[in-house]
Amino acid sequence: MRQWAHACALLAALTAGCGKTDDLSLAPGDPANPLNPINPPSSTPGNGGGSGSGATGGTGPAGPDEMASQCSALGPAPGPSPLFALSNYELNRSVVALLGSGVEHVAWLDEAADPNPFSSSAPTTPERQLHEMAHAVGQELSGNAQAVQAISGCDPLTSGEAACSASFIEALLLRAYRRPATREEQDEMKAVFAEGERLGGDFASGVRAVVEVALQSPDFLYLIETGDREGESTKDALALSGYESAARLAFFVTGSPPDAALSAVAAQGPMSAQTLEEQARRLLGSPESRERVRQFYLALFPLSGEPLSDQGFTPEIARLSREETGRFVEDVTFDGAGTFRALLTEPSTWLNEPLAEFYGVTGISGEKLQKVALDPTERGGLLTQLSFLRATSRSLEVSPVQRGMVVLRTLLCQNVPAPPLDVPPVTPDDGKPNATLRERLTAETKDAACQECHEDLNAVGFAFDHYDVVGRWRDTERDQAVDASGELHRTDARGKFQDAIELMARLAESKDAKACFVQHWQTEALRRAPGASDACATAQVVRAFADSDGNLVELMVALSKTDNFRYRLKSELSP
Amino acid sequence: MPQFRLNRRAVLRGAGGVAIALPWLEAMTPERPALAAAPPAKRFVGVYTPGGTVFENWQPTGTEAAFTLSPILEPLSPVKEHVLVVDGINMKCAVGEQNQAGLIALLTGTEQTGSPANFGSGPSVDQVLASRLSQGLKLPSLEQAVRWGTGKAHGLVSPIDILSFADKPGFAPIKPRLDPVSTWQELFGGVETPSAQAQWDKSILDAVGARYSALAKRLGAADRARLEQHAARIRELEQTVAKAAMCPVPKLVDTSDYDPDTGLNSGDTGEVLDLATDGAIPKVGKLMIDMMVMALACDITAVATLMWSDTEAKHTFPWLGLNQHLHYYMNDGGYHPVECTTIFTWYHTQHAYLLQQLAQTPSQGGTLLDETVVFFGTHLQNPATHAKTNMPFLLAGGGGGLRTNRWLQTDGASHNDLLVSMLNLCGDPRGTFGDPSYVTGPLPGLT
Repeated sequence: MRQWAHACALLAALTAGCGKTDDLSLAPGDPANPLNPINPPSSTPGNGGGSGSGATGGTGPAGPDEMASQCSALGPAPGPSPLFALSNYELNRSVVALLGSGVEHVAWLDEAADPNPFSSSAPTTPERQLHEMAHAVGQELSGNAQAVQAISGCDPLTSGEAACSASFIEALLLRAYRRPATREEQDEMKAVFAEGERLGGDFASGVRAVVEVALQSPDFLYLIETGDREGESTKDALALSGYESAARLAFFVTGSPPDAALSAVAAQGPMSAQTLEEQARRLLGSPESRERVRQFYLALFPLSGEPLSDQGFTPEIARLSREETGRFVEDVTFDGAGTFRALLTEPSTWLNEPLAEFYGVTGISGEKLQKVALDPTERGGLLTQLSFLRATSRSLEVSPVQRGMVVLRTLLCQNVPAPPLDVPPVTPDDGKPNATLRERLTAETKDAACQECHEDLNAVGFAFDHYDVVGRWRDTERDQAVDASGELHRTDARGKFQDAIELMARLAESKDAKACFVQHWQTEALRRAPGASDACATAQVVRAFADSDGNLVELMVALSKTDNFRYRLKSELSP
Repeated sequence: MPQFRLNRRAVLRGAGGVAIALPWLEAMTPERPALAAAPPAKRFVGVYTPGGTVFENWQPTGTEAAFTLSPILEPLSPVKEHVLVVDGINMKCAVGEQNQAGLIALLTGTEQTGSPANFGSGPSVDQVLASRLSQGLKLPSLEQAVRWGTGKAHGLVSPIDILSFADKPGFAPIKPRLDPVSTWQELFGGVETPSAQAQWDKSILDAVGARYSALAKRLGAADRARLEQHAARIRELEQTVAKAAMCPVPKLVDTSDYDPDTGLNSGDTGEVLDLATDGAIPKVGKLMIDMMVMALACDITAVATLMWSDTEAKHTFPWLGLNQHLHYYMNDGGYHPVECTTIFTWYHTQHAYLLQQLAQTPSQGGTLLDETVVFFGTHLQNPATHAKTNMPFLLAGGGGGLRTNRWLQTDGASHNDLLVSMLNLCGDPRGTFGDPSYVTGPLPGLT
């Protein structure tokens, strides 16, 4: 955070006279902040290099093509790989996988009750929650003899309890630890089983104890990567074991632990780039992968707008609009054009009857979402959908600044500082009731100091002025014709545009935007922001992405087989 | 039970359940702020005994730090180090009917409004503290009474027999629990006993802790540090659980000879006898103390009160060989200081048992008694005159930095000041309580 804060202070100093802007209630650096710069050093624990540079600005040190060819000669140079814990989503999927078929989801905390268990008023610690989760899962599984038998492949009635407890432990730990447990670890668990049996008085209690311990073990909760000491190795780098690669790959591509086929491959030892590619392609055909891709975009962009019922944007529409965008990105990635370009420009989306009304589309009936072609002069891509447009509006007016921020920060990875703290929100009327928001914001940010930030921010934000607070198309604002035109600077996408459609078309072809997009996905693959030590891997991926015409699936495949995905630093390991 | 006081909302569903929001391990809770020198008390106990005292047999001798227990206080000698004798308090706020006003004032610091038959005009200290100390616990407070509602109270709620008043407008009188069996069933009658569950959790967390230690050895320094932080929090959780393992369910003795509702049949003068119930008072009292201690130890509640009868106390003491009721020995049958001394000494013997139990129950910060403030009082000082000066009060415990093993002579300090201080010891910072005209500020010299 330090470097970013420093940059921020510098820029804030530059823009100290910055005029009135929209009130950005979310603070930069807040992980819940959709406008968060994507590369804060705080998300790179242990990253000694700590590049922390979010801004590319189109001026990389060397072109990706050049880099990529130089790099292959150098051998693996993985970046730091600190211990990572599973995310909530991955934990959920892991529990489901552990229990096997018959249990779809684990409802642990009601989402509605408290979306943030770590708020200052949270009644408990993560450990306690995990403890309770393990307890609940243990009770559920141990009460289901069939499910236990499905895991162990052993019937206590015919094979005896001793034999079955041993095979249960072996099979469960293979799933929970995502690798075979050592003899010692199995013995450890046999003691746990015996103690559980003693306290609870039956075989099921032994099962329950083992499940409870396994689910709270670091082997389950963290991605433990100590490398394969017999595998490929250089002075600095060590290949991950087959099981470690399998876990990395599976969580990256599917958000879930490795399936049986991947585990079988993992058993054969460290994975080659080719094996990783084959497995990535196979997993990308799974339903888990589709869901994981949805989760990525839902987290990347602000897509959760507050309901605004007097404008018809009910809580149900809010939910549906997220579903629409989720369905859209899934379709674009896996079934449709498959490209980055389509993500930003595709003029069709997924609507049902209630949603269609917001898009001014008639003839759609029913609750089921269906693919609908929209007017390409009005809509194109994810950022012209209701979910984004509502999430970047308040109740009375849209927020051009917030919309502009997303484009500059999230699509172009530019480091736009937060406004100075003493900037009040834009005057609602300013005594001129017919003044548009564009007129008022322009007037209030006309000083040179303000323009440092607002020149591009305003222009990009105004590009979305044809969409009102709930994302409906509008031709006028306050009885004046909407002017959505502007000009973008400081990127290879620079130039004039008429509206959001033109702006998005420009960004869809921008190398800066594509490099930024790669950076987001690379952060997912590496579980940290890429830094200087990842330059070679980054260059390879950027080239592969370009070679495939910006194919989204090919991007995930390319990320799955870089050296930085396959190796880890020796220096981080215990001697 | 106690270690699972969170909502256990986990539901495993066949299909279509809600996805979980499990904790982000990345977002581990920050370090706790350092505690102040004396943390506030976590628990409050109030004990009421009827009849005042026999002052010449009550007041210690010697000096503040080197004092000798009197005959009535002598039973407290095994726990003397935990006791602060608070001498000389003047219960000025006890304005109203001579007995009733004393009981009303004892924990509320307010006058009886329009005596008799009316109550006071404020909440009692225990209820105020229940709002503060019992947050998130199963019970805000546990009120119990032995042999209650005698004489003119007729087993009903009346100013004769109420110690606790609600901490909300109206200050409703709170009737204590009278039936030890139903209390036991409500508090401890669950299918799964806390101790069994706690033992289970302890064994699970032991094994989890071992996994962390085993794994940490294999990792590099930075990763090891991270896992060790996690392991430290597991150990903390284990200690909490271990504490829960210290709450065995109190033994439910046979009290079938005790009729908790016998007060309903009482006559005004105490002439209606229930010798079976009177004879069971010692074992019922002990059971109520055991339940109180375990309710505190198991975090079922943080606030508890016990009444050894009401202000009438029109029951006999067969186990002491006393066949008249307390009010007879106080003044109805002429003042009987010898018999009164015997009875009051017995009450102090029971109080010593309570303090010993609290002192023997381990808690996170040492013992339960270390984290508690215990108030022991009566509604008047002199049984014959009903005087309410030089009240024979005791405080005990280490909560809030209370300094014990002393005889504090307060020289006529207002009772309200003592109540303010009791609140302060438990972390409530207010500077006034009850009727403000009787308040000068916190009572000096307690900590």
